[in-house]
Amino acid sequence: METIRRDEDQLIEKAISGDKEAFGYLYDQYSPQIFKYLLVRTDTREDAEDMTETVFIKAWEHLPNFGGKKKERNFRAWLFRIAHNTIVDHYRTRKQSIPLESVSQTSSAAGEPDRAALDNENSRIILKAIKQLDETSQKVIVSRFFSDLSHKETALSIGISENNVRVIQYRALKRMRDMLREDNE
Amino acid sequence: MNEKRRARIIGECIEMVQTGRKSRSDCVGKYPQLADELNFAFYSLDAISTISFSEVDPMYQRKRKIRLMQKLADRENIVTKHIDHRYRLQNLKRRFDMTWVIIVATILSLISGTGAVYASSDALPGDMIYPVKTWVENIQLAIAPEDMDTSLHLRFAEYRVEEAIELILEGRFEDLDGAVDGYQKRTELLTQTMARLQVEDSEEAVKLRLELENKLQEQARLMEAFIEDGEETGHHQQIREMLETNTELRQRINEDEPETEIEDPGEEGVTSLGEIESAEIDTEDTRGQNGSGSLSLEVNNEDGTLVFGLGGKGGNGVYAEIGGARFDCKADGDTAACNMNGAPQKGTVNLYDKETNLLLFSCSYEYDHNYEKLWEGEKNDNMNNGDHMEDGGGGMGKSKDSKDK
Repeated sequence: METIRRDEDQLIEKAISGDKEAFGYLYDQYSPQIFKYLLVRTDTREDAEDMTETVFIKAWEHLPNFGGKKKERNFRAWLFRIAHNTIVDHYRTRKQSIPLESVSQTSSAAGEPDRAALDNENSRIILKAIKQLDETSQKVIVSRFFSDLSHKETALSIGISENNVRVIQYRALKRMRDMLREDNE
Repeated sequence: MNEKRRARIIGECIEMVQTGRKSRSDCVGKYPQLADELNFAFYSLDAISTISFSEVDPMYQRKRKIRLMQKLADRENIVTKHIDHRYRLQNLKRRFDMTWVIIVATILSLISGTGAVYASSDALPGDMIYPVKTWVENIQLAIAPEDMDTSLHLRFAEYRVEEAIELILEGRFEDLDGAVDGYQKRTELLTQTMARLQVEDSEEAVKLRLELENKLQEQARLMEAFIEDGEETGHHQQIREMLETNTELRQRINEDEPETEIEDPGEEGVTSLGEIESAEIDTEDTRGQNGSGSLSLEVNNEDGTLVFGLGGKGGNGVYAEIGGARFDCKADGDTAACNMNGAPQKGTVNLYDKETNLLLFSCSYEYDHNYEKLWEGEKNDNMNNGDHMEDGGGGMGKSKDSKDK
């Protein structure tokens, strides 16, 4: 694990000094995770692809600032933070609320079988509940449960404390459970 | 067991199960009183894990990567003089961070013990140990070289924003004023430092202004996102107050810039926008580099577009910003149309030069939902004062400048 971290640090340093190939390795490593996260939180595959590109262009441009704040020295969390902001910017200009329903659509164009396949009823129920959460809770749940970010990484990417991530996660799960109960009644 | 403790236990259990460090039954067995909540969390994990994201075609992925690589600008093209300055600032900051830690920790550990200093870094207003945190900040400021003052004030202001949000999330509303006051105090000191720098080294001040503008926009974005995301409570008002302070600070910083001769657009302001139906606007305040009122603002009632008359200042392109959120504008000759869909109902709109990020124009606004009667406030029937808020049919408001006249 330490070796991986050291390698990543070297790649980052090289990318900061202008090495695009090094940045390409970072792209290979993280773009699938970022794409998946964006896919869950956007309308279409095209939006998710475009935004993934935007995230990495922004990351390249702002990389010299990475790690300026010591607590942000976590590249994955930093990338997810850029992804959060990219989504907010995207939907703010479109005057839309950030959707989650896209993930519940199984349709996709030919050759684009990326959309989540919801053949499981439980998945559908859970996604419906997540969709009804407020924006911050959605961010936390998607980061924690879909993207497998740790509490610490989620905290860094959203810009709140780890304790708050846990509290928001707890409340969100409680709300989801209540929603499911109400639906069953 | 209080909510915070339950949240911590459930959070840790989920993370341990996710990383394979503990089994579900271990968790449920250890905390039987939380069995329902834990089981639901695991059920959610299972449900989400069954969602399959099909792999993207590797060839397609490769094409995307090549396209991205082509779009990346060479580093030397990004690293402008202004960024160089930022590097310098960052490097200095990193170097001095460690020195401070050693010096301050040594001093304070002699006085009060190292534990207090360490623990204070996460303290919030209202915590017993919070004064230690602000004390450490003040010591950092006292021993830092002068050219670090601005970045320190800025960083401490950022801490106040984070503290305010955490206080709200923890429901500690009674302590919020501490964070709000702290933010205002830091921003006031920041303004003074900038004013001093303007006198001592105006070239450096210009460079720093750009950096500051970006950082302050980040802070504004964080506050704005929090206000939008959260369920509305009366206490969001305090975050709004901080957001207003942030906007005022950015305006003041830009006001400190040397005056620039601005061409008066005269009658060619915004009146040529024939099909755009204007609406009434109440611009309580009009500041910025062009605070003289040479720039103007008009509203398209149909789609909520703001049309700025640029007074010859939009050569680099412009963008609008409200509370840290950026809105794209399309320039057309001496006007720029900005699609403000998604803008809050009330706030301050700022217009920036796209290339230099300098503030060109700023005014407060308020509109109703349907863009029917856009701007509340006093109507102005006497628009011959040179502010160019031309009346295109619906009647236009006026700038502060015009009110004062």
